[in-house]
Amino acid sequence: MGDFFKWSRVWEYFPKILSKFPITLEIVLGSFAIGLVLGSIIALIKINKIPVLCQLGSIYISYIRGTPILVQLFIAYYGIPVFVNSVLHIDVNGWDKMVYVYMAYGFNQAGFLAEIIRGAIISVDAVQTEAGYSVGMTGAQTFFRIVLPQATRIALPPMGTTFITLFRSTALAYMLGIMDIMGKAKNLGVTTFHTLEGYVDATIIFVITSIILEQIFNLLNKRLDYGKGRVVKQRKEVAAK
Amino acid sequence: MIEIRDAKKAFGKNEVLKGVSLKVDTGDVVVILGPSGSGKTTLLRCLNFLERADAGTLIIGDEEVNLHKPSRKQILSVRRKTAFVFQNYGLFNNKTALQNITEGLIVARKVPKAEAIKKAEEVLEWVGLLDKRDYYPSQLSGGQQQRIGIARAVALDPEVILFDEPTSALDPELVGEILEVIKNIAKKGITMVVVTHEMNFAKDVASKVIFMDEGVVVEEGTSDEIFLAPKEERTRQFLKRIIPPEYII
Amino acid sequence: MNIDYEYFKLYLKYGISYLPNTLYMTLISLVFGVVLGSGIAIVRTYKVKVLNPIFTLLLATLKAVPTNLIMVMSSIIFTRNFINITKVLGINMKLREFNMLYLASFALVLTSVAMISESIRGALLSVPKVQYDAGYSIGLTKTQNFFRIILPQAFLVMLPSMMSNVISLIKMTSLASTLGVMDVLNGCLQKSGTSYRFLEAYLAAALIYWVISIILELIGKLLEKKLNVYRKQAL
Repeated sequence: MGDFFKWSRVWEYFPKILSKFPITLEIVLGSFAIGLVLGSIIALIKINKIPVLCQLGSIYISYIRGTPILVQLFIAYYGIPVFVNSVLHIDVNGWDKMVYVYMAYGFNQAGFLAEIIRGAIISVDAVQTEAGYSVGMTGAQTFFRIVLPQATRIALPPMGTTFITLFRSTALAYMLGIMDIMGKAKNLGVTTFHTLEGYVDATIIFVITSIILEQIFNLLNKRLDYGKGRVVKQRKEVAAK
Repeated sequence: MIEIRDAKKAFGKNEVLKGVSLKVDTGDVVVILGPSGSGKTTLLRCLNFLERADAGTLIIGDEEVNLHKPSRKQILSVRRKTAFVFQNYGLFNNKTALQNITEGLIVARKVPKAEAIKKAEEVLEWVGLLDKRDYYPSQLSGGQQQRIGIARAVALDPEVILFDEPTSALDPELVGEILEVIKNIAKKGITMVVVTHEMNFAKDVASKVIFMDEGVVVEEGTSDEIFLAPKEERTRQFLKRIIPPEYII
Repeated sequence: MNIDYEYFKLYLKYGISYLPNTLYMTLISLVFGVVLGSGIAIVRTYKVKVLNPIFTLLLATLKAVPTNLIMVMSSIIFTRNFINITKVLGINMKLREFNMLYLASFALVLTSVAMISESIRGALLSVPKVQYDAGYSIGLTKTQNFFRIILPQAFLVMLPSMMSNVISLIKMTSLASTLGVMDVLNGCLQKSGTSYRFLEAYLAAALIYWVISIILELIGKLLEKKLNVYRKQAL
């Protein structure tokens, strides 16, 4: 029983588990990118109220928000091959497991990001669009130069939260046999019969990374404030010189 | 020269414009008066296609545009010949004072950047806010924001500037400074259409006053004609309510 | 597409039969979450000395660690020390007699506390300072002011985020299946091993969770509407 947990093993395993951190990071960044693209498309469909697609979008969002990511993960793993095989007639035998992980987490993010993006865009005051039109900009120019930057600002804090949630939820990817932080922690346990230490290492990595991510988002938030304080400060500094 | 013929607009069952015609000559300062809900703001917004009229024609310069079914090209062309000053300033929240002015020049009118900045600094200086060039709207007072809104319109060098109640969102003590700025534009000979509740401003500056009520032009004339000798009963009633008796000469 | 509807229906039935366990775990984590979360939220909102920094650190950790990781670690510690625990408590019980549902609930409570205390804190912070001043100005004590003025207002703000917390908790209970707890997910999966009809089993589980979430969301909207009516009448 005394051999059950040892700090020395925590230190011994740490570099081995940390070496799998890039895999976790890959999953997070890859699926966030997929989610951002797909989520933006769904958001635009819903804002422009495109018939049929709009309703499908709502059902999709409801499904993503209403079911556990664990279930979504396995539906992607078992369901996508069936779908791709029978509908698209493509052989999936050679596909890497990571493909399903990206898809599961990416589709999941799309559901959450779509709502955030939609909310942010419609919360930008209509006058901003009108002002863009009034100085002679086209619809696209107004959207990309005026509305989108302001919407991004609004969407940033909730996006930060979903990003950190996504990071935590990747701790389930090992169930498909992915060798990420969790996968390695489990694997070390199986080969050495000392399971707890590896999980403690994983915990440490999750906590530190979450804190770092939170700081990054806080910094971004402050940077992108469109003048709530920043310019005045700069001016004062210039004046002081 | 700008002409509007028979502009009509309804929101659901509510007919806001029941066939409005209007002529603005180059260098005119047209002030549109009328009680709230008379359709004056809607008329102005239809001119810039911020609102789509149900019927009517707009002639601006040598271009004739159907107010109901304009082509995309026509909308852009009209918007690039006009400028709009908003009631709530309508400054781009994500752009500095300077960028608010250069945006329309660089992006919409393809003016070279250096030239656009020079122009923007000029107009900022003119409204007395050059020192605020790098400030964001959130850091400026309402009066300052509206001065930049006006500077933005002037910098575009449009054929006409449309003012939509430019002082009604401001604190009373700031109204004067904005009206002063608008008066200075009038002196430059720029064509303007101004929707406002400021009677004294209308008296001093307008070359033509239009009184609207319930979606129609009730009466139009010079400021003397409207204020000193209104012909229509509705105009008289309106002026009586708005202007305290001692001011009616 | 190659989906066997009969198996889907069968697994759906199995899954639904274990719904009570899923709801039970949700209830446990909700109740403990609200009780402990309120305490932590009050400490953090009003910056109680000593406790505030401790709880802040604790929450930051709990929010960062994946729930399934908490679950797996507590199960390792618990099962390895099970004999000692029973000795200390003076009960005679074998490990396989112990219902892992409670262990899963323990891990869920930890996450739930972090989640719920954040919603409560957000709601408390949303009450404007002038509401406190107004209460004090008519001579209410701190406690009176909190329970009579601040809490009722915060409650209205809290409702939507609380409803989404409950939905999150229900979804999170599915992690208990990794400890072998017979919940909705494991119920759906229990016979899929022999038929290799995994997709049908997971689809059945998804449908059950989805329907519960939709029902909860509707209840939340209804409640909000009702409360908003009161608010408007009060105005």
